[in-house]
Amino acid sequence: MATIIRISVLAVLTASGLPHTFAQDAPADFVHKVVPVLREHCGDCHTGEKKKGGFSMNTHADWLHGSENGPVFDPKNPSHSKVLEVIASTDPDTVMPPVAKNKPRPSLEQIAILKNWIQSGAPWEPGYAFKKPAYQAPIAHRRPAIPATAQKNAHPLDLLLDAYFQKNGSKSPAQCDDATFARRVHLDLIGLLPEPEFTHQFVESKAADKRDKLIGELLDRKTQYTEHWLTFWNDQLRNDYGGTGFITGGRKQISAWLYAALHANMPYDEMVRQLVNPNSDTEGFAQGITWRGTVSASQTREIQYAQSISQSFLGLNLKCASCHDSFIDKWKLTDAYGLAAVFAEKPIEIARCEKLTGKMATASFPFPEVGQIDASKPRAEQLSQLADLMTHRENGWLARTIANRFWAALIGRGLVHPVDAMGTEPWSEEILDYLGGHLAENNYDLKSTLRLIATSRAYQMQSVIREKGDDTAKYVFLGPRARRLSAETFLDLLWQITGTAPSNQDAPVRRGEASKELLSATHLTALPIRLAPEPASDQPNPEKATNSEKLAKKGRKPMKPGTALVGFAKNITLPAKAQKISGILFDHGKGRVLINGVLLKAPVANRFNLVTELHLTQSFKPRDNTIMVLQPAPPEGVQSDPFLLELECTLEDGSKLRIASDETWKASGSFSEEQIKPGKLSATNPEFDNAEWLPVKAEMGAFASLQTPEKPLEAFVRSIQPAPPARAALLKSDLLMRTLGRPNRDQIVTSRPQELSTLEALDLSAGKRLSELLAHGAQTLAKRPWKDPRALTNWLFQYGLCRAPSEAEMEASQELMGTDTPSRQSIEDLLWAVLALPEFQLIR
Amino acid sequence: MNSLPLDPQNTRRDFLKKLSAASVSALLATEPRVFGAIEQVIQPKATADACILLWMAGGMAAPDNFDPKRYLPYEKGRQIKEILSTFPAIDTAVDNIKICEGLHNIGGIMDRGTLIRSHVQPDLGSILHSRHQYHWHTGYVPPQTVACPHIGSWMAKVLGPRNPVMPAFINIGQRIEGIGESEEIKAFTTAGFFGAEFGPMNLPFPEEAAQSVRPPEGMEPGRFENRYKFYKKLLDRSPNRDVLSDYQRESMLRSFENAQRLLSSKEKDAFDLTLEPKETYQKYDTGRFGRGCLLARRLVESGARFVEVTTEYVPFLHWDTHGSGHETVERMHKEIDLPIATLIRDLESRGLLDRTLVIIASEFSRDAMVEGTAGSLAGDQAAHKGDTMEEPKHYGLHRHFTGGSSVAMFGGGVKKGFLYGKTAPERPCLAVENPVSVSDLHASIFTAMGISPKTAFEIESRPFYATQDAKGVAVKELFT
Repeated sequence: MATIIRISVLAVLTASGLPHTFAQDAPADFVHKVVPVLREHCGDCHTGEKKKGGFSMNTHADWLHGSENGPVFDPKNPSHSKVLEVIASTDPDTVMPPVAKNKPRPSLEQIAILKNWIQSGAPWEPGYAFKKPAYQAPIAHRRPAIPATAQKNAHPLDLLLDAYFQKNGSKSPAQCDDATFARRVHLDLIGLLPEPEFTHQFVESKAADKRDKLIGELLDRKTQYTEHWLTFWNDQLRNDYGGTGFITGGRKQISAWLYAALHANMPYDEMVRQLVNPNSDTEGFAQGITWRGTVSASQTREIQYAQSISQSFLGLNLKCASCHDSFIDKWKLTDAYGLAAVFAEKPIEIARCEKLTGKMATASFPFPEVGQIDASKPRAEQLSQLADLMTHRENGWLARTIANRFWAALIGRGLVHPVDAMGTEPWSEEILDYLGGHLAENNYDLKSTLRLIATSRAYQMQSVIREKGDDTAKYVFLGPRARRLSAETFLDLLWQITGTAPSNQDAPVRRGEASKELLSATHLTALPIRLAPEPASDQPNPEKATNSEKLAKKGRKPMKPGTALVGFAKNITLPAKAQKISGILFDHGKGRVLINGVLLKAPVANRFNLVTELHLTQSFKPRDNTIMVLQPAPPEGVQSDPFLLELECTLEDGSKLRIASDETWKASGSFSEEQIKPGKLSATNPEFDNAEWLPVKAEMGAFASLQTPEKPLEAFVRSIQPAPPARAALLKSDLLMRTLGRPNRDQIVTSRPQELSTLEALDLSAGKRLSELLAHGAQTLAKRPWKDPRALTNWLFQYGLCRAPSEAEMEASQELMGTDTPSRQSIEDLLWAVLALPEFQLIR
Repeated sequence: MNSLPLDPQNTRRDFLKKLSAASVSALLATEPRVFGAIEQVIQPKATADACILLWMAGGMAAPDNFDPKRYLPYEKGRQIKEILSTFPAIDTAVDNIKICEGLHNIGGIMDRGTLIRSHVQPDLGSILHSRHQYHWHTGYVPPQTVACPHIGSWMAKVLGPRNPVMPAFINIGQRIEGIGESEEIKAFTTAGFFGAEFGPMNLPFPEEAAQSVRPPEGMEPGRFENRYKFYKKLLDRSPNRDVLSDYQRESMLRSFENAQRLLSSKEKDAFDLTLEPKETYQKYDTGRFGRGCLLARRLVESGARFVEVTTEYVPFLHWDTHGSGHETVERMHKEIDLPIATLIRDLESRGLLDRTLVIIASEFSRDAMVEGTAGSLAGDQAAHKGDTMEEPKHYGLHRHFTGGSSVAMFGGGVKKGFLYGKTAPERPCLAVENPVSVSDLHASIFTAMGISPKTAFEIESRPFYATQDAKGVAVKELFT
């Protein structure tokens, strides 16, 4: 129905610079006259999801809202509307619509229609929109109605999915078989393959709840879970162990914190809180990457912060809006700068496309529905407010964003796709809403979301058979998609199958967890010790002279403040050669260890909070050794910080002995930084023998006030038990991992390549690194006692593919390997062929 | 070689059909799409089918190479400010072009190409190899919110390989592991958001290139073939072949098939420098760079689209002269002069030069006194900061300079014996005529290759252009 308003134009338009010869006395027929003109000349840039210059006229509200430079239409004084100026402009740079070669200008009649309409108050057909309004994603949590069922303990996602299939008129696809499930769920939750024996038992088991139980067991394997999901989180938080920025100190890792957070399954809201309002462990994420020299206005530290937190946690892309009001979604320059202003140390001026605007940014939160930042408060308080708003109960975006990422990781495509466009309509609002609400209600327990998805039928269906181009059509859920192994998982599996995982790691994290049996059977024998302050005495007592007095007596100058060290030492005689020496140093975080006068390198790398893991097998000699712990000297009259050290030595004959701090240690305050430089100090050095050695004080309760996330005993047990095999996620990227799609983490990465390129295949076929790994793996496998090549083939298929080889496959492998003991070469070739199979490379 | 398809559209179609089904697949969620909705991009008619970039990594000083200025020899105690060039000028095959002593062979081919003396780069507050090399190779100043593709990846993406068996983008001479600033080099040695399909094939050591298209070391060709036959048997005999047979699987297999095809093709011989006749090999054998030029020629002859050959960036080595500049550049001249001239002559004699664009470029120039450009905040990065030369190692152009550098271009439709732009005769030797920015230089290169500088792909719902913000304009004067 058209809104027709009869008006008279009495005067020639004031804003017009164009000849205008006919006054109108006609109805402003919005639907029949105005809309076609607007559609023809303005629609390309300002309707639907397009909003060039931040201006949309898709709906009446959009029209009234105006552009990034303010309103375009003045309802109180229509004749002075900005829009009239630009339509009538004779300046080719400002005229609207813009001058374009391949498009004719609006005719005079069309311009007259527009002017007439605007001057008459721009009446709008109620509810009219040029294009269907863009999907408006909700902000708050929503609780979908779960369809009623007679089934007991029905999985809520299954019920929602049933309703989805019913609505689509499609049948629910069949579930995958047990072996497929075992492989899939192992690879998805811990990134490793099930052992062949396990798969066999799992398939044979008749237990009705075996799948649920397996999911629970895998999620409980803290170390394997952490080291698998580390890749996902490193990508998402652009954390790495090397990369651009590190060279000039413009970047900081969050590895130790992230590893510990995943290991302890830290609630997600707490993770976000600590990343948004950072502390010294987490600030690497908030600070982003600082390049030397000047950077564009959209890449300052503050703007990076705004982009990073909105992308990682809210699935919002503020990259467009960091430079100008976005043309593609509703985000504005002020939204990006609002977040940036929270993090900025100083007031920041808004720049639009690299040009300063003269306007200062005001701290703000992009969802005012949830709450707002009080920009008058100091920075620390604003950051805390932002952390509160991000993790607010009413902020459903946070939970839905990570739930959608998990869904995409496990199912192969997000409910919202792509995963960084959370304003987009999901294919099932109900499932997404349920997942988000569930996460929030479960105290943001990330594993609860993984469990919820993995236990659903959606996850356990047969994977879909893909067809070329099937992503261009409207997405219909018919089961999970096969996903390609990540570069890290591919290497992990090669190492797992062949038992050749390397022992090194680049990630500065403490790995693994203490075994429960060992924990209950182990006790610490060490006592915290410290250098007791010398009691104040009225009379000078030569036996109790202060360190500086003693030094003065010996004719030596007291040391420069800050370079003095106090050393605690003990002579150790090992009855035999040691096979392994490891343990812990527990202190206030400032201690360093010398063995036989040699300072241990980089204790910082192993240091996590207050407990340092020590691996000293190579440092000790047979028989006589001296161990020393050095601390910065305390001010005179103040007692030194306590420390506790305990080592376990396993001797060649298998016997064990402990080295532990106690009252038998001695302390001396006469060391300096200069003295401990390499080569300066040795056990036989007179400096060492001549030091003034004083008794130490043992104090049971010295650490009562120290809070550690992990108890010293647990750290000790972990240090003495065998290290778990290394995982690729803990290593710096190498050429092979790069080839297989491990990204440079200069930007946040939320999806890995799913296709295998020709160059990758070339590297897999002929590359040096992989062929070395295969040769090493085959060498290791060749040492195992295989009955015949059939046994090896059978085992490899069971392990790598979770199925037995067919007789035809077995014959092929026999042609390759013969019937005698398989050669190392033939094992290598078999290994390559199985690892290169799409069946191996894909998680189905 | 001349029978290679020259029409990029056909090649592209061919390429899509034969080689890279994965690249057109809709498998990848973030697969960039050609951004057609913004505006119609009309691709220019190509004047070149292949491109060789000879990269003088580390900052080649224009006044000691292609833009000679006032020359003074070393003399103890001499004021450094008196010196503009440390090499005297020599005549070339073109009357009005003089270049520096040491580049006699290149001087002999100046009549085949165009010399630009007015290439300029931004200062970026601090002139750094990492950022300037990133900028030159991608057209975008880092950091960026998306991973930017290398210009070679643009050519691989838009044009594809000339010969479907060959990788489209080959990068010769640069190690990206185990050297200083390797992370910074990796940041631009990538296809970025285009994805690995369009990334470089890295051949850091030209003499080992043959190994990368051969079975792994220690594997007899017979065994290698046998292994692949066995693999195919396993695929054929898989009990659930029909269940698992889908698009993902097929595209993966196609990639393996392509790799295998290259490894058994006659084109793989192009990678093998030992097959080059001794006489020509010797002309190139001045070092890794020289042998890289030979490899580039062989690869282009066999259908490579874009080849970069670098003198290799390693901090404080090669062109990165912060001390002993004169002595180092003397050595660099010996390394580059004959191979570059031979490359141009070889391409010409094989009838390939007309359709192959060869570019000599560097991330910035150098000066003996001025760091950055006049008025910039760039820090002085010279090792010796005195006003006079006290030792021979003080003789050279040791400071980064972005105000005017030289670029030489040969073949591929550029004018012959042509000089474009000039720098001031006195310090600071800024470009004073026809300055050419990185964007405009890229626009010129892309245009010659038949790619509009406005070509855009969609990433994260926004257009990303071949030249920054589609602003690059080809310098028409460079072309015939």
